[in-house]
Amino acid sequence: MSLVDRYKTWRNRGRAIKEARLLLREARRGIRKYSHRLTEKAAGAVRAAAEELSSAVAERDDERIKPALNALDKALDDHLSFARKGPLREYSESIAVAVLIALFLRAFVVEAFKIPSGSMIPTLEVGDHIFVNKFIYGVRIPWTNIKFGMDYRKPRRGEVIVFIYPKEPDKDFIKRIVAIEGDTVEVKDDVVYINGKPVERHHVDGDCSYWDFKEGDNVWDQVRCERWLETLDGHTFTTFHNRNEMTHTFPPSTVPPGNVFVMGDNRDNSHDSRYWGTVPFDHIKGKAMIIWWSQGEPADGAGTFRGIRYGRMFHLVQ
Amino acid sequence: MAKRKLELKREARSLAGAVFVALLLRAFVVEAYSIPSGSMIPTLQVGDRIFVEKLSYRLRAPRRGEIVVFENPHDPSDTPLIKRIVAVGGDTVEVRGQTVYVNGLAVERRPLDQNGGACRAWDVDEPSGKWFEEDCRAFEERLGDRRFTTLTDGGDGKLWPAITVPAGKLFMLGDNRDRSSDSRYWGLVPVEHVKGRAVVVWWSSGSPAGIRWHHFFDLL
Repeated sequence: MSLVDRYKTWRNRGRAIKEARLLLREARRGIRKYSHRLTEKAAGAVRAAAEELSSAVAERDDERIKPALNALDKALDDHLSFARKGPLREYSESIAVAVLIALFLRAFVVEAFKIPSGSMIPTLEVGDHIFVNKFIYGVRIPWTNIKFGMDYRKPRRGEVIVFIYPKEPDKDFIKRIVAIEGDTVEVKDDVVYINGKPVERHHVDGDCSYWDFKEGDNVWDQVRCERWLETLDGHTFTTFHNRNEMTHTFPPSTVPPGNVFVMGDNRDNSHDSRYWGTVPFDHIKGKAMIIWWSQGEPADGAGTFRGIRYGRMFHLVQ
Repeated sequence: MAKRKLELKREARSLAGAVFVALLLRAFVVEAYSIPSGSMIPTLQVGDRIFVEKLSYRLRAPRRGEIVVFENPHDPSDTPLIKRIVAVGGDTVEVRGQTVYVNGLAVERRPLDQNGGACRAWDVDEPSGKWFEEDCRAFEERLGDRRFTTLTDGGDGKLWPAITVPAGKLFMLGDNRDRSSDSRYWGLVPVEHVKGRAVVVWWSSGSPAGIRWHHFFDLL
């Protein structure tokens, strides 16, 4: 026997065994569920065909499996036809199960988001697609603000999160946590102070400009900027400040319990906690993990091909 | 010949004197400014020309509700700014959404008409210099004994947590609240940076209306 033939035999046996398992399960379930509608004789016939098939499978006897399969199939048709599912029902059931699993994963494990605005440039560019970890801060019941397991891992400074915009709950925002509950946060001439201590930052010389998408006018606009490298609780990230723009100042204020204070990395182009206040824990949807797709105008230090910024793909969101 | 020369000299001297007096007046009494941006709409339109008097603040401190011209906090050599004083030294001031709180009391504010103050306003886009018209909402505000109109774009406004303004500092807001870069963004203004108090509009023109006759001699 050639190698190909041996492979084919092995593959066919695998398929037959798989089919046999499904058929056996159907038979067992049919007998149990519909015992009141089956005569002793009919149940016996199905049971006998099932036993023959399972012993053939157990012995890996190719000669017996095929006829036993057909026999059980026929027995089921003869005695349990009312319980058998049509192919349409089989397909729609498996699609429904797949959708349910996808919805479950999306709600509790990982969800994909697309970046619509430039408030997180250069960490996240307009047109980046990201995956968000939905369970790290505890899971949220969809369409409610009820969360479980929140104390297990609290949001930390420096993490990039997706959350429900408190002023318009049908909108999701993405920003970086700058201060957490109990912190005093202040911005003085663009420098962020946490509990009175300045967030370490260094100016990065060289050219700096970015493409921003003006949502109102639907146009791309090139903006000139200053590049800073900031370090907050072990997270090092780049922030942009528009060139020749007045420095931002926000008076000291304390973040209430159960809240975080968020800011965009594109400091002069971000509608964040400096504008509308802090974000309650239960509004947080998850933590941004990785860019899995990126499409749009050329961005900082990333190669592009026909608008696809392949250079940004699979970057972790730091 | 000698007489004509003498006359010319006298003429030149009087002209020099006039220029000197004008410069003196401009430096210490009154100066003309034009409005380049829309942060004080509807009180001041882009293209308004105003007089700013410089005497009062030599005699007394600036007061809440007054419109003042002051040095650009970002760059003193840049164009000065014009805003309304909302809180002075010793006041506590807070902004939540579109409501301003001075000394714990909300600045009284109500829509200008039954339609919620719906309005349209012409403004100039900063970098391009293009005129554009946009929707707005007009509110009447009362701060102390002053009444004035402010605009919003219907958005969420800008937060400023409660602080006490230190002595010698001022908290400024533009009347066009959602189109104004003011103390909510860059902080308080030292009183020394104030150049004077805006008093009157003496000329008003700009696209697309041309000359805005009804706006002439508006007292501020």
